[in-house]
Amino acid sequence: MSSCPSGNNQQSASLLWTADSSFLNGVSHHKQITMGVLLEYEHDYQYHDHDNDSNDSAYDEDYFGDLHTVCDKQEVRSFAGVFLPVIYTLALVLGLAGNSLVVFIYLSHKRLRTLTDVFILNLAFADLLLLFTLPFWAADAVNGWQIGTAACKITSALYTTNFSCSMLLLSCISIDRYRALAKGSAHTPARNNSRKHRIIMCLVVWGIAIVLGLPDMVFYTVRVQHSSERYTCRAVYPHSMARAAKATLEILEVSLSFILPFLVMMFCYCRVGVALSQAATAGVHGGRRWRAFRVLIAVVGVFLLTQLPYNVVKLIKTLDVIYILVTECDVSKNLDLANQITESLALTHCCLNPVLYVFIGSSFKMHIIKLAKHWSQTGRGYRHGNEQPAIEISLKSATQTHTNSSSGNEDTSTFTI
Amino acid sequence: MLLRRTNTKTTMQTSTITLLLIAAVFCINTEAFPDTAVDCCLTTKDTRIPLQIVASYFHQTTESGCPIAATVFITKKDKKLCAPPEKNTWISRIISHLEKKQRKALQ
Repeated sequence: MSSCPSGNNQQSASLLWTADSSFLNGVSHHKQITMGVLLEYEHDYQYHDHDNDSNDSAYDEDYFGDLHTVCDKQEVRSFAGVFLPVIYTLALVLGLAGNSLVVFIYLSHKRLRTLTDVFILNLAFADLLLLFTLPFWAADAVNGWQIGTAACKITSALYTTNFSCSMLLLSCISIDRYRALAKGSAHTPARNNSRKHRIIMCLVVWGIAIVLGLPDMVFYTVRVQHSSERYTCRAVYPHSMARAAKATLEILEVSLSFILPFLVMMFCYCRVGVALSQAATAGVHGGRRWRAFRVLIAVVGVFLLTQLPYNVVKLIKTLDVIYILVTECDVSKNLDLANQITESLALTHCCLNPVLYVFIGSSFKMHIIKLAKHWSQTGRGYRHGNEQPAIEISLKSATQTHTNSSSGNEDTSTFTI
Repeated sequence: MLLRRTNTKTTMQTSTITLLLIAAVFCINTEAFPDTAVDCCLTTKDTRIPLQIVASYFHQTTESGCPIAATVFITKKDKKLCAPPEKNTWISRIISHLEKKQRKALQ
């Protein structure tokens, strides 16, 4: 409890004037009561008494109804501390299992016959690397960030690089499937399937993703929250550009991490769907066409289901940054909760990619069955293959032989699954 | 007859490269993960706060992950009141009073 400062008459007069000014502007009391309060205050000051609780209470009650207070989000942080670790653990377990199996089978048994196979293998690597960052974010949600600025920058950059790489690869897979269909009918020579071309494509995709991750390396840092004394890993922009930069970058992120891949997928898969419909008149078996249609619908549907809610919430938050739309504390808290939930939903895409792009393929099922029989005969336990960096994958790809690699039928066969 | 195009391979290859380059030029992702929920003033009001109920203060900035800048006064009962960021008369007076008190306490 702090006491009134002792001082000379001038200071005393100044304080009294201040109090008088505050009262006259902030309180609509009867003049007589005002004078009484002033006298009482002077009395306390002269005898160095502490401010009594009833005085503070009276002031608080008079003023708080009129003043705006800080929006306390401890309950949002508490929810995150429980919800996020659970979600991240589930995503980590399922995602590691699925993507590791994809990598193991491709490296052990399945030849990279098409560009789509190369993209799918890289997609599994990107998803694995992204999943490895989840334990750090789970710890951040519970305890705050406690492992330093360098780890903050690296983890954030890894997350963005691999998330962007994942989205780019989904676009590339759509394009290659469409190209395979077109090439199948045109019987053009297969320069696109050359080893050199594959390496270049992978390097381009990863190069772009790394470039997209660089701003995180620059802007992400560890800051302490003043109100909760808690360290967090987050983007901090230079003061001069904070608002404009954040809004611009969020809009670009929505445009290029969601809208662009979605438009590419819709264009390519609609063309493929139309071609499949036309194939009906050519006597292609109905069951085969129906299975291909289900794959297309599942791929686009899951993409929308996981990514659309998150990008809508992100867009709303961007508009809030620009126009300061959210002024109610409850609305702001609900927006933060929605952001946590939809971002977790978006993350599940890297668990579902193995199912959508690999496991429903009939050729992959054959490899799994063959593998299971092999292990049951030898009695060896299941073991994940060693994960290798993307560069080694490209080099390994270069050394593999490709009989019939130029066959248009193989592309079509891979696509129709 | 399925879809047929002249130079489809070259066209699609060019389209792929162009698409990726466009993405590289325009897309700069920096929001890898959302800010954890930060306690912020969402609005402020230019209403004088009695000096005697204020214990301390700090400045809220947009750098700290909040939507607006503000001056936050913490009362002796640990309420956090939102005031405008500008140095108008009554805010400056409270701040200078608090800083004097702090200097005196350090002596």
